Amino acid sequence: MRKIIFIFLVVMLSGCETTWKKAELQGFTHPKMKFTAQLPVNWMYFSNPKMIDITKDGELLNDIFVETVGFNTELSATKKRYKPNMLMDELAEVDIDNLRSNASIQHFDVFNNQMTTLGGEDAYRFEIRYQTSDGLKKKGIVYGTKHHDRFYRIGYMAAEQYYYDLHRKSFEKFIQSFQFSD
Amino acid sequence: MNVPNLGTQSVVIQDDERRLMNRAKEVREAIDQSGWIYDDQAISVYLNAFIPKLLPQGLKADEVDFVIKVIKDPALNAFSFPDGQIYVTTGILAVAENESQIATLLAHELTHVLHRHGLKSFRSLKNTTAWWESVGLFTGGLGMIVSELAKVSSVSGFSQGLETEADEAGFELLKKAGFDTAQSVKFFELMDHYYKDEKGTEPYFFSSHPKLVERIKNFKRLSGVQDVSETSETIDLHYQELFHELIVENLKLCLSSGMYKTVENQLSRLMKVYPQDAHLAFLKGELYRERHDPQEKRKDRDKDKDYAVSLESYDLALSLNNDYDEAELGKGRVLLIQGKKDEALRCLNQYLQKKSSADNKNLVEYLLKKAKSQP
Repeated sequence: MRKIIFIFLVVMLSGCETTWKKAELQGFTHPKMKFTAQLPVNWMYFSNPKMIDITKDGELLNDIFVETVGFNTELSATKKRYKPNMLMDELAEVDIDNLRSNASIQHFDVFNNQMTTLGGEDAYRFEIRYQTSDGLKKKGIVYGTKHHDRFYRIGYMAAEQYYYDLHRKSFEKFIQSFQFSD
Repeated sequence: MNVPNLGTQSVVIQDDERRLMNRAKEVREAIDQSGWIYDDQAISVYLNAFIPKLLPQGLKADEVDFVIKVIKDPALNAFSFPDGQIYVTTGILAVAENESQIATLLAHELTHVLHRHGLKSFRSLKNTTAWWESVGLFTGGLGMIVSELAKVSSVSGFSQGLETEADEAGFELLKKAGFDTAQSVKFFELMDHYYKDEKGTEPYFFSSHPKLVERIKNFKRLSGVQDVSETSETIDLHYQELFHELIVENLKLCLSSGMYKTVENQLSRLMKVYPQDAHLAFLKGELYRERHDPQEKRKDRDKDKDYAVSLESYDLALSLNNDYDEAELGKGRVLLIQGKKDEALRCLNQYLQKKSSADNKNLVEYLLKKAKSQP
């Protein structure tokens, strides 16, 4: 019983969604990650204090995500870490190497690695092509940026066939609307 | 459980073994299509030439087809399937110094096949029905590979008894084939160094039983060599020459994986053999630019030393090959981090002048903007 109460309190205090919800026309504010953006209307989203996932047809087929990654924390595949004093190109390097070293990503390829801005901050942006563990060919776009002491990764991943091009504009609109709220 | 070894007498393959082989074939096909295979004809010929040298004469094993393939993976690993297919990683090949050490590794894996350790392991399970059910769950691709590999290959190691048997019988194959058996001790010691350098990323090869230190003891006992420095053959230049590109490719994988100590050790070894290789000098520059201590135990002055070595290495790359533009860019990046504005601007501008149509023009312009904004 204590456990249930504890979980309930954590959920209430986190101020984030615990179930999938439908994105509405009005803008979305993430209270913990401190950003606002226009989610694609009628897409489904799920969020917790460190991430939000938004999808139209299911995460495997198309997925927009925003996540905050702690500086100096262990990453899933590379032993490298994001450091607060890194420039954008160095952060991009770590991000790409973490993907490249991931054994469950096959035929990994990076292209259009560029520096840009996001929400008024310097940012990196690169595109990737890969094959999933189930043999599904996917394409994606990844952004990374720093705001105050937080590091953000924002991305769009979709099945290369049909879905990627279909929803890419929705992602671009999402990126254009992305703003930090503090 | 009477499972005779493959040898000079024909062995009848049982139903369960055939099923194991069929399953292994599916896993192998997934590996072969994953983009992981390091495809180099010369290396393939070299490695597969060990098979007739190591296998017992007069072997009757019609159902087994011995083939060795290389996987692009910086981890130290090797594994075999019941049908004779053996995979070795670029990581383990990069650690080896000569052909006797490679023979040690391959003799061990061949023994797993010859002694039918896959079948013995499978039959020792209490509930084989549940095993088959679990194997049948996969849907293909790497999701399958990761879980299935452990079930139908030697990737996660067999029992302590079977691993010891593979070491000892493998040693006999090595001896009969006339390889320098003392190198088996050296090989395991090299892997031990790697393991200590890269704590936290324990490769499968080490996670098998018995423990590495015990294996070193075993090989010392078997070879009668207590001090490896007594042995004659160490770094074989022919081997290094043949595997040069593979080792460099593996260094890049290690660098991406943040295995800085391994990169440092291997570069140090390689640069003694190839002091005029601009690419190695460039990789050293990249290593010292990138590396950091995850626990932040290093002091700032150490990082300053790293940057000094990095700049020195980029300069060496440029002196060996004046067109090595990436070294110019690397220098610019280090100088920018060090706050040496004018020097950074000079390097970055020089890079842009040489590579006006570079894919990363936008990145260099960002670095130039950063440099210009410095006081």
